[in-house]
Amino acid sequence: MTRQQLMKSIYDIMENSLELQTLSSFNEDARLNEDLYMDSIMILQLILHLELDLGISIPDDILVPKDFKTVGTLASFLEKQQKVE
Amino acid sequence: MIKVHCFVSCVCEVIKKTKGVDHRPYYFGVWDADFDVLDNGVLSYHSDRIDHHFFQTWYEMLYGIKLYKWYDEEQSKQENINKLLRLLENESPHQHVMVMLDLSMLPERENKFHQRPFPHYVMLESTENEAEWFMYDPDFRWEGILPKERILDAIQEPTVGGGYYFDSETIIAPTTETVEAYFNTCIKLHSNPMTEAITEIIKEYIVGKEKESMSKLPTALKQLPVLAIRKYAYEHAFAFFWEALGRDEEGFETWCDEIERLVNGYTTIQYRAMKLAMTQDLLLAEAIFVKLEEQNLLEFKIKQGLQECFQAWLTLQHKKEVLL
Repeated sequence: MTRQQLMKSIYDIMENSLELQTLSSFNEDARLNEDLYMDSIMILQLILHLELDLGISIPDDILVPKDFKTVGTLASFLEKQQKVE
Repeated sequence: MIKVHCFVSCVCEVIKKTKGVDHRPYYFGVWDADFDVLDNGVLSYHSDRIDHHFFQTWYEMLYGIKLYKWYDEEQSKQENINKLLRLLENESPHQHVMVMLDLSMLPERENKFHQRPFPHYVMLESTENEAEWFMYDPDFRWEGILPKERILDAIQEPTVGGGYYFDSETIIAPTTETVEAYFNTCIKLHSNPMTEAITEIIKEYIVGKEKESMSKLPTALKQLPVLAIRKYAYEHAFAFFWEALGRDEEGFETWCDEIERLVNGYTTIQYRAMKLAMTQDLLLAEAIFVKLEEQNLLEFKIKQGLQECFQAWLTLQHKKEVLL
């Protein structure tokens, strides 16, 4: 998937699966916690949907906060995982 | 260093501001601080069965400051609020007032865990404006002036309740003997209560009385992030001993990395539990138990490393005493 497709998928999961109410703040630099008001549980739910819905393999033993700081860092993390496969 | 416990953070603020007194030993009580597992198998950092008597007692023994509990669960919320109002009206320069409120009702400051309700201790002071209070949150490093009525609304929330006040004028530096006793009380070299509790909860939802409710496992572990962050208290302890022993920064950073690995390990466990609940794939259960055992081994390694630091520190203190 291209980065743009990943961004679209992230948005769709936030809207449809997590039912986020803060999507008007969605952009590459939006911080998942401070701007989109996602706590760590919701972030894990997002990653889980990305793994199960998109089939991207997530190495759950290296989940670290800095990869999930912003929408952009999450997209970069996912791009990296696709290359690893 | 990351703040890890709201009650502890509140009472440590005055310690940090006092020269010659070290707050770091107080964090010995945090890494295995009390939590609860409710009857329905839910992990909880706050429940009716948890009080702060342990922290209250050791605070006085270490630092000479008596913590007075002004909040009385037997009295009505309004009676307790009246007490708070009197305390704030009559506060002296060294007096500090702590109150538990529902942080989710004060959205202008960051609510990192987005819980509702979110029981949390903060410190309050009156201002020259009767309609406003100064609220100080050492745990999340927030301070500001807020409308008094908004704060009172957050205190009114029926599911939260608690409050202490103390006078910091009597502060003393802890003695070697007291630090030694506190460390020996807090270091649990043969058990890791939190990892053990998580193991039991997961078993309960896989083969135990909650096995028909595996989809609720994520809810049972929802507060795991709040509890996992307490493990950073080990950093305070290592820093305290490391500085006293004059050891190199590199070794300290190595232990910090291990502690961070421990904290992040709980994220992995939570992720796998959520995945298990969603997929019902029992192979994930095996992966969860493997990770829990790794957590146990890692935490025992950290505790053993800390024990060795403590022994070296104690030997050094005794040598100093001989030289006096």
